[in-house]
Amino acid sequence: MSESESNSSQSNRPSREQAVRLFAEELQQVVHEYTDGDGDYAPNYVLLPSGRNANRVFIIGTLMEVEDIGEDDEYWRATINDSTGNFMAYAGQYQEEAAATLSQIEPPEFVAVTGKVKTFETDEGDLLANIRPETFEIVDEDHRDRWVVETAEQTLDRLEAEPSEDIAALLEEQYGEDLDDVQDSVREAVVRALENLQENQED
Amino acid sequence: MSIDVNQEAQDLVERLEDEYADDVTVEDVEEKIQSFVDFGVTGDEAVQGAVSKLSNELDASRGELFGESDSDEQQGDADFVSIADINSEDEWVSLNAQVTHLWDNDSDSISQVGVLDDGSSSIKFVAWSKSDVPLFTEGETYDLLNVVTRKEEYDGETRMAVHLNSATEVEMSESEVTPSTEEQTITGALLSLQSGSGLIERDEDGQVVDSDYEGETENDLRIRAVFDTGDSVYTVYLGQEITEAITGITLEEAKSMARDALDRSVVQDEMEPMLVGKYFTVTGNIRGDAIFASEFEESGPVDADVDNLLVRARSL
Repeated sequence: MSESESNSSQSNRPSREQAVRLFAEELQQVVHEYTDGDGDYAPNYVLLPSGRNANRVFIIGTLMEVEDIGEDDEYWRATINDSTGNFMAYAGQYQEEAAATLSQIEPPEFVAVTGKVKTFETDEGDLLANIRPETFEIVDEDHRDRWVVETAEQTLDRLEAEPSEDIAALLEEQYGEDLDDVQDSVREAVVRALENLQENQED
Repeated sequence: MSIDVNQEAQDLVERLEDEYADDVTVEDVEEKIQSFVDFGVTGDEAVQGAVSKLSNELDASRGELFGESDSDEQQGDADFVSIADINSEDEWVSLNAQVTHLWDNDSDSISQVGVLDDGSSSIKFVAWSKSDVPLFTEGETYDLLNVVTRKEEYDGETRMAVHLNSATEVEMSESEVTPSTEEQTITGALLSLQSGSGLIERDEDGQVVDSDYEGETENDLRIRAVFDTGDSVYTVYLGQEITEAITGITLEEAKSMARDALDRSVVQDEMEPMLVGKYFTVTGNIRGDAIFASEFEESGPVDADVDNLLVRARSL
């Protein structure tokens, strides 16, 4: 590998957001989305109850259902289950790569999805978080198992760590006295995912 | 690095305070500088050696010889920099770095010579005997305040080095440095292939070029991918051999795929489903956010202690 390649990879572009590992239960508990900074390209984040924010996520689960819900153009909705709940992923013309996979795939399959978290508000005023996939690929069970263990570890790390001052203030503001209950549901989701993994491994 | 000894001597004499100017001749200073040059001491260190001798002979400090404003004495300590950012000579800098290697040294004027590494890159260092810095231990990390950057030529190649002289201060560092030259092993998920993966073309200098390039090119196979651990994001580079092994596509096969499709990008398209969304263990050198892989393997069945994790989750 030549020097110039190593240099160009360290140019002054903003560093890429890491992909947070989280279970579906935690994404369903999201109630707050915000923009960090000014300008058109300021990144969007959702507040995670385990005590950090997320712009991009990486998930692996079982593809349950794929449906084209677009009226004129193709617009795919994929439902992915991770044993704690369902993730919803939406892919249209701007998610070309994911849309190409979704137009051909036949559930069930284990799928790995990387994407940005987006939210929309229901008529009742609830916030629903979903994934706008950047990549969407079929993987095997070993990778799914590894993801469950890694996601359990990283979720527990977040719950055990002291959140930053900014995040702590947002958690207080958004969840108030429900925070303990919400965090407990995230912890219980970790237990469920690990128990499910153990049962599968015993089969 | 050679210096113009006569010119240096003239400059030095001109900078002397008036009260010493009559006692010191250019010839005298020239001789003193030359005596260091003859011992293999180069550049600024030879001049500084002559200043030390003068200061002894005249029983006067540097400040007295040149006045308070003498620029060779640092006003406060030099700024800390990354070794990777050192690219011009005669700069005063401070480093936080590990001594990764000590080389054999048979020169009396040099106390130690070896390699410093701060995780961004590595650089040769020379500690002059008169610098009075303590002896280094291999593998220990130090704060080095006020070292001078130098250019050195080796086999026609110019490389940077840092010299430790009488203005240098060295302290043991509290921080741990992971040397850039040390291979590390990391497990993570490969999240996407970046452009310039698959079948690529390189020019005569090995630079990757696009299809508009009009000069001589050679085909190569490589992968440039986003590798993410959940905490950190890297760009991992896989060379031809590893790319062939992990994808099962050889360079020759890739060329014929591109010929059939009249499009090189089919090779990357073919590789994506084999790699994206999967866990791998990579071993290699890390430079900044880039990993240059020497080994790259798909992770097998998970071997974590799930019982222990369950205990942790239930007891939280």
